[in-house]
Amino acid sequence: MRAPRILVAAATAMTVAAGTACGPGTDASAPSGTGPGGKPFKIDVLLGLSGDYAPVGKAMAQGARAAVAVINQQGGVFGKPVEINVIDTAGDPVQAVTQARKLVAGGRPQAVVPGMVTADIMATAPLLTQAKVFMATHGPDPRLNDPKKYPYLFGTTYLRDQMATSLAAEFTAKGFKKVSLITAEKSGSVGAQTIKDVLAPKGITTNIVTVPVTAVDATSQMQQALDLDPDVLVLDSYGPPSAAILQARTKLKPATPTYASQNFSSGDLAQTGPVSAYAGVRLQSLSFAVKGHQTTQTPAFKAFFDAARQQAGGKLEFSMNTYVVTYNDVILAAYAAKLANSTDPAKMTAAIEKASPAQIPYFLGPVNFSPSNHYPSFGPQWWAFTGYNGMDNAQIVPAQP
Amino acid sequence: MTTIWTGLAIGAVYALVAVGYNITMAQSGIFNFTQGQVMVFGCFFAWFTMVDLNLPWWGAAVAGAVVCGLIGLLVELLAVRPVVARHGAHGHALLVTTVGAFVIILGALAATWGRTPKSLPFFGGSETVTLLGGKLSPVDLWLVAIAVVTALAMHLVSGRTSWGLSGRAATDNPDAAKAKGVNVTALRTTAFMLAGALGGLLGPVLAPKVGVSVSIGVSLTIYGFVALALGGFGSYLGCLVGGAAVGLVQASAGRYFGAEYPPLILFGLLVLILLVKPTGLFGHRGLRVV
Amino acid sequence: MSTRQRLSALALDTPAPAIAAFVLVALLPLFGLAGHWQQQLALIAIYTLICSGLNLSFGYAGELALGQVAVFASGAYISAILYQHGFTDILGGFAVAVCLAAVTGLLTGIPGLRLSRWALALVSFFYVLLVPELLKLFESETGGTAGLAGILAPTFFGWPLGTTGFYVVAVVVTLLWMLLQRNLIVSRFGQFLRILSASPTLTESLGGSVYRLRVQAYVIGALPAGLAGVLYTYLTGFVSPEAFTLHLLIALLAATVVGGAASVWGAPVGAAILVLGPLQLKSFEEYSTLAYGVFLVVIGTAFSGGLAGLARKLRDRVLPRPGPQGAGDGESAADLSIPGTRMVVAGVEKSFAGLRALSGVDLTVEPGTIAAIIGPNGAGKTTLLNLVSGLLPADTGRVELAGRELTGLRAHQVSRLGVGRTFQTPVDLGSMSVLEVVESGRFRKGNLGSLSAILRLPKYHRVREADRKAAVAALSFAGLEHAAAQDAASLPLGTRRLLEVVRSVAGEPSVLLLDEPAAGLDDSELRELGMLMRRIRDAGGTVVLVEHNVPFVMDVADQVFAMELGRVIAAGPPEVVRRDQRVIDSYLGRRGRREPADHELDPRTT
Repeated sequence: MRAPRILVAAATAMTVAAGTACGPGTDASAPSGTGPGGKPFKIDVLLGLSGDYAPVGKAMAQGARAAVAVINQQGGVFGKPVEINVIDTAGDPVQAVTQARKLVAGGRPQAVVPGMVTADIMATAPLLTQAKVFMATHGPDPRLNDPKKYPYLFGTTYLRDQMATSLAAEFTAKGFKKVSLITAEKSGSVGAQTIKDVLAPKGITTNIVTVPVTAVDATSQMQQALDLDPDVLVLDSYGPPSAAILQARTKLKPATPTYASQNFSSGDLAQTGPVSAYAGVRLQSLSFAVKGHQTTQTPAFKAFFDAARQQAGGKLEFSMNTYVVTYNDVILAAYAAKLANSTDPAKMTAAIEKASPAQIPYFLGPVNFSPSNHYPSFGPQWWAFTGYNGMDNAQIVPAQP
Repeated sequence: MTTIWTGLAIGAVYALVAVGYNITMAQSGIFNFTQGQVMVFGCFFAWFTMVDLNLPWWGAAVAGAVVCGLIGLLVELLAVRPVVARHGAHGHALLVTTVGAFVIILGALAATWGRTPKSLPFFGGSETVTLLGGKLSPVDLWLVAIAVVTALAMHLVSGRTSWGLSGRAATDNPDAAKAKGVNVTALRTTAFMLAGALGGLLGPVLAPKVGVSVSIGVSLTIYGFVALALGGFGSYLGCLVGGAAVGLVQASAGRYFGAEYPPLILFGLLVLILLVKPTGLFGHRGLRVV
Repeated sequence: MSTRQRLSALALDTPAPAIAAFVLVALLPLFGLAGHWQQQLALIAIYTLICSGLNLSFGYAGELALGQVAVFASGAYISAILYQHGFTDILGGFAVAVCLAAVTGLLTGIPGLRLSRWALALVSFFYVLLVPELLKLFESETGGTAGLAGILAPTFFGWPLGTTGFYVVAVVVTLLWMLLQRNLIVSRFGQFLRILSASPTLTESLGGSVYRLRVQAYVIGALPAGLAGVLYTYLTGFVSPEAFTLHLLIALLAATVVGGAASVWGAPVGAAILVLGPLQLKSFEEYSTLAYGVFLVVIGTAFSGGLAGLARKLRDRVLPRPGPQGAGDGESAADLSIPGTRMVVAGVEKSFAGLRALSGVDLTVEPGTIAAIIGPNGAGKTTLLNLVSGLLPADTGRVELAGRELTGLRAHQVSRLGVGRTFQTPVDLGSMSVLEVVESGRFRKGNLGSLSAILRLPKYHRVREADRKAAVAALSFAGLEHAAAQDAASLPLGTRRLLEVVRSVAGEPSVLLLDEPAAGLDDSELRELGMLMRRIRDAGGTVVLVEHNVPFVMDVADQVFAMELGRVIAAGPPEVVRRDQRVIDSYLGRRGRREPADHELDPRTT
């Protein structure tokens, strides 16, 4: 009997020791609301710096660092420079959860960008919510915009229905009634359904055709899409199948007007096909990804663009969206603390819900959050439709009409 | 008709993979798991030589053939020969090492050129051709022609040359062939090299069709195998038929049912043919792999 | 037995060290193991379960069936779907997942009944492509490509299970499975799988149904993957098709092979390396796929046993195994009954692709006699043995054993009715010991008893005891008891041929068919073989012998049948057949130049 008792005693002692040792060491375990004069505001950013998504993850990290540079130029938060801590998740939900648990175990982090791809974010968000952590995310899944379920989570990007609304406006203006939409599994099939649901009340019917992710040829799908004699063809894929889809269009040369959704445009357009393959395609894009658009003439955009290029070593290789999403995540988190003058998640949340555009001048996009809507609403002025004439520093060079 | 052309074009790709499999099957009785992945390597290499080094397409094809032939040699030397020496040509150790070689090529491609897909425009242009009422790209035409020529050529080589004939003898009865002085090891090595070289040679034509991406290796490997299993192990002309069948099923099922169905249908077809006629439609008995 | 011996037996022959290690790991949270480390260890547990399933089908049964990823996905999804419907109990999740895994394992294993090797491996590769398609087809429940999120807190009998609770459950479940599997592996079933991977023909002739064994291996191998799926869902709180990829499959295969595919405890080692190893370092991440491939090639070519194999070698060098208990404690040949019965072959015909191999063979062999079949190559001797033992179906004619018809039965059924046989080429059974090889001759008697073996019921110990005793008796019958603990593969070829006979004897066969047992034996080995055969006859056995060594045959046989071109041309006592003119013309006169036999059924290739 003796040995076990000693064992238990030792174990208890060690647990307590471990608890006290790591307790006061971290800033965030101090009572909530370490305000001005405390330690520097720190944002933990979960990104896939290795694995399948490594190149994109690295570009996203550059976007996040660009935001830090811009904020610190403006005096930082609580009068001190902001810090970010980029943590590698390899784009894998298991590793993302592990890292999130690790963060929470060390005391409540002040703000977290909870992952890189939807899988990561969907896995970490519930856990971080449970630990009452303030989150700013670029996850586009509408399930995340649920302040009841995720009270401390804010989105920084457009949701799919907004992208669809912009398309709906364009199609209504052109008088299109019948849409054939080509999407790819994984990237877009959920988004495609959203587009269909948004277009339906406008009297526009959508026929969705899905291309397998592993497809090397999308001719049959393109034929299927054209079979119904649609008024307009929409390309809505992301990643490898996009090239096959574009090739199929080149081959079949349909006379049908063709649009590429933001989903498609945020991919690597230059690798998807040559400029000639885009002849007759209108690209839907976030406006600041189009070279020369008026939303790129603001001081906020210029600050972002300069900082991002500096972080990337002069040239932006990936799509504009890649850099903007994490940039916005960090900007929003930092301003939440700055406006609330606190790191208390409830106060930060309240501050963002009430914030006006002027209060967050460096956020690229609309600032119109509310207690019931934690994602920004990108209105028509944030969307552009343009022809494609190559890329320049992550910006689409518009084709001359 | 466009659907049929599409099916035949993609079928030609699978037929070419199947021909590659068949070379080692017919000459040594060994299934070369790496063939599909070597062809992906050929695509990457064509992209590298044509885009980065600005070689003309024929230069890229020759360079690709040499490099991929060497890869075939390495696979045989490192992953096949030691295992055959130790466990014979039928043990499951050989499966592990050839799958391992498949993974090595995949990993090397991902580490060198990354996982973001690239594209290589076809040197023969992209002007659509209309043939028998169906539309197709020049690359599709080329692929169908190349598949037919390659399969016919290999068919003649295997039936008319001493290399092909001794391969047949060696797979039917290795011990007897050895006794007759056939160098079984040399046959196997040359077969792996030839299959690899074929993959490299085709790079400049395959890459514009299937893309330059590490993610296509699995589909080439699997659908190429379906083509081989349908057509028959050991038969080059069977590869053509099998490839065309797989391509047509993929194109028409994809067109009329939806994207989820072609893999399910092809899977059912594969299991069915392996269970009902394990030698495939035109296969010869000695090469049952099941 | 001294304390020291007892301790070493405890350490070597029981899973005690492994249990101690697992219990220690389960208790680590008491010593302040941080939450994220618990996560990593739980992940190791998950991978351990999947690898151990792969061990069963790949390592032991020798088939590269990679349906595990599909089963893993099914377990993960079913528990996520249950959670969405309000069933949060983790034990309930396990129960449902195990049932589903059994069904999935059966479905994914069906192609494996007829296929093997390449074809099976490629078919199972296909599953990786099919998983996302199937999930899409059932999108309303599975969430399609978007997956299911927020599966956070499982319950355990209604109590919410915290991180630590979950961790303990994961470790304990893994340990329990490993113990069950370990019990299974050392049972008849496990031995049969090892034999199956070496030779399906041998398996059948030892009374094991190849189909049934394969199905059982796939179904049982699927179960841990189902459990792993449940644990995975609750570990991440999120499932989507992206988790079940080729990359995962490759990583798990590499982990299995590195740990040692044919070993129970290699699985946790491989899984631990996968999760904690150097590949997780950021600088190596890019090369991880490459490294998995290198592992597969290097281990496949050089160390086929993996780390477990290396450890086994090291252990055998440092701590030589004690001999089996029961050996040499006075058991004598008299303990072995060989209840021979009368065998009748009547009018048997067989053609291969139009070529007549047997054209109407009649012969009768009485119990307590040795009958030899002689004749030139192509006479149909081995074909006849294959027909009697059920490896080939006869075109017409019948075979009877004590009045019971054998015609039309499959080889394993014939074996279970009492026909024992040996093959010309002994099958290399890898690391099986001599005693284990001989015990396998007993498997045709009684059933596999997998359940009693897994649960270690008294029946298991009873059967095992009986098997061991009979095996030792059979070994001493041939004077081989000293070799009991050696690896069978390490014996000289002549002794291995004797061992084939001994194995059949251990099964107490009604008829013993020997296919060229004397080929390649030296004089003293021949004498031993002759002695062994006579002892079998004297114990009442019915022995049928196919042999080219005429002096040996004439010396040992009571009855000789001479065959030519598929029929019996002479029969009778040796001295009569020896003087038969037709036999001299067709066979005996030409003896001296021996050719390799044709039509032989090599057990390795079928």
